Amino acid sequence: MHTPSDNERAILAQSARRFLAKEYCPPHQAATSQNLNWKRFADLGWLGLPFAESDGGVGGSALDVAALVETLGEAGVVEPYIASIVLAGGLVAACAPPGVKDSVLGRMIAGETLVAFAHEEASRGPGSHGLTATAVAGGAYSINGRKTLVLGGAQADWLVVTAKPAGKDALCFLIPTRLEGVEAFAYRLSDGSLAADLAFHDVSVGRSAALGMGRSIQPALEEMLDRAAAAACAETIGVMQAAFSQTIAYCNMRRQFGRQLSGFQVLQHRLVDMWIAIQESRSMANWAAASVLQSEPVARRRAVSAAKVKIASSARFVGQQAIQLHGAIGITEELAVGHHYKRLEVLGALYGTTRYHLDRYEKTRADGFGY
Amino acid sequence: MIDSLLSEEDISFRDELRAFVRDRLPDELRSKVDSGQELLKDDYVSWQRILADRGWLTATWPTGYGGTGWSVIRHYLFEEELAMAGAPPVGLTLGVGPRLAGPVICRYGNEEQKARFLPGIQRVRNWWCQGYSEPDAGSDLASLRTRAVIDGGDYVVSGAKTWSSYAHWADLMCCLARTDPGAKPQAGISFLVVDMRSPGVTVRPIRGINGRHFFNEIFLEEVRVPSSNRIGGENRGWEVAKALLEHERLGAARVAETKKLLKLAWSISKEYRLEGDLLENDPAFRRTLHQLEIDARAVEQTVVRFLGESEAGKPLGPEISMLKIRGTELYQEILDFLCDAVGLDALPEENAARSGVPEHVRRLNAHRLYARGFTIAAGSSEIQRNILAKQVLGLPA
Repeated sequence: MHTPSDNERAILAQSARRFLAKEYCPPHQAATSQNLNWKRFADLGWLGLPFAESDGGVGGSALDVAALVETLGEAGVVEPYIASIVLAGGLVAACAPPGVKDSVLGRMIAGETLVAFAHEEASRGPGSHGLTATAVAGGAYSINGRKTLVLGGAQADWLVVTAKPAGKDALCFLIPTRLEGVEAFAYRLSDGSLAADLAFHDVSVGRSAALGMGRSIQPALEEMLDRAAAAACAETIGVMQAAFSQTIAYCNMRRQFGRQLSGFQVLQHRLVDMWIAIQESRSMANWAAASVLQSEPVARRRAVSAAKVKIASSARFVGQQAIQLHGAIGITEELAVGHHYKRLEVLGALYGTTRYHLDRYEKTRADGFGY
Repeated sequence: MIDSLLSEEDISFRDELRAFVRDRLPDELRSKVDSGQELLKDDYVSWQRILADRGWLTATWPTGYGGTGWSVIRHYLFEEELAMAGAPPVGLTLGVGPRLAGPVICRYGNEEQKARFLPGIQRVRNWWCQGYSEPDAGSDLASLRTRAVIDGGDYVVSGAKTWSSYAHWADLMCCLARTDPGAKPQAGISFLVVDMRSPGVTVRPIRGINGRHFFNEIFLEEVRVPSSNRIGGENRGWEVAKALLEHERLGAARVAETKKLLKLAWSISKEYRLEGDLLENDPAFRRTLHQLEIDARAVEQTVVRFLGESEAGKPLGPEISMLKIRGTELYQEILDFLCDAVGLDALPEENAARSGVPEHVRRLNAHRLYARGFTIAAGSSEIQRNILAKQVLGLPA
């Protein structure tokens, strides 16, 4: 029998699906759509889902987040829910000093302030470096360098910025985007989502901007990154599901050679293989979410990395075959299925590429065979 | 890996299974299984007797007939833990008697048949084989042509069966025969128990490409089978034959065997040198092995998910076919990877005595050849996909 929280999750997912089907406007269709959508997400309580009630949230778990983001994926949502709410918001909730937390978190949950996560760095050969945070007098820092692939970076009011000094623990800062010396170069990803590269020129931040307050932020950072990766797995299931449903519907409707496409055995087997890939992906996403709940770091890393690798490859297969089975219309912008594929490739690389996660998985097994 | 599903009692049960194999599996048999040697009839029979002694030989039977009444999870644990602990694979060991004939007779047999046949299985007195497939009826089993014609109190049975595992050891056969050629194919088949010592029964071995003999052809020339040997109603044999118990189908995922294979890959990599260096130091080898391990976890996590749904009251449905497809295809992929990893050492036949080549390495190719049959037997991957297409995705016939 289903537990009460399973029922609640099903209700959450169902109402989300209904809302999105009626009212979601993809960003590439209207410049203002991102703000409108975000406000509606806030009204529905989604932006508070993962936060404790004492922080103004709803107290949802990794499973609740998974249920919601799966429907976001299915509906083609590209707003940075995971990056801003799960990841950046999660770090603020876990590590910001009380005064800072109070002022930012509540407004973030209300949709009044947007927080972006600036973490990825492009190392383009010798001499290019990422971001450095140099300690100066009075516990303050001077930040220099570049961050890349910051989802919603140009639209954000606040940035959670990570810095990794060589041989030392990571640092993390919560700073206003409009701070002097911060420059944003905005662009869209192939799926239409908004991103930015950021440049930091001698940006001065006070002690209160540092998250973690003197203790190492490394464990919290790892945990939030894993939460985000696990959530991305769930979102990917949703996108695959949408691509698959549309493909089956098309194959059942489209007729050639006097019969439905879905009557041809090769295409039936292809659809079955897509379905199998989604099933395996769902099993792995469940494992990843369960490992986030249990929170033992090595087991969590193992499950999350394994899930990311498997799901990225399944997603590519499902997305590409969805296009293939639509024939020529599959490569038009007009059809949703091409959009789903673009999104699947983006999700496959966010929160750790396959190469990164295969490597990390291998490291969790460095003790030899323990499967 | 499925700890999340296990209650405390399930965990004790699992410990019990492990202790059982540790204490009761004879060392000689353990090392035969471990080294991949061919097992003899006596090996299987002695292990069956040990299981019978523990009350586990007939675990899948209804509780009134000696079944254990285990949950789906416990049946799964039984197969998985015994395999991981080095016991002969349950499916093969237990075979047709305890796994097919027994449950079928419990469910469809009359009291006289139960009294006549069940004790022989329970006490490990008889070896049973399966006579279903025919030279012209494989995937399309319903088109089978072995004919059974009533003559007085007997059926007179003529035809040919094939792919019958260990029929050369068998005392009795579960035989599907056509009793009404005029009806639609599935509606004209009866389930008969045939005494393999009857006049007119000839068994011919089929040698496999891995050099081993387990398959056989069975020729039936006017074999007299008492009509009291028919299980279930006349022309109702198809339903009887199709009653494969749901919990057995999870075993088709071959999770335990796959884990053992991956474990074997690790241990080979620690002792086997190719071009001077240990395989385990080759980054390409490690990367692919981890990728395959991730694929194996996906199959296992799907078993976990289905088990969880089963525990929550949702019966295992046709979706399970995906486990056989993925489990067998992955198993084959891992063996190809292993054969490739050892390069030319995979080429000589299994028994070629070559110094410097570990026994496990010598056997890899034979194992790989044997495993080509996994995607074919018990419903080929293509048939399984047809089943998923029709019964899960609702695609047109």
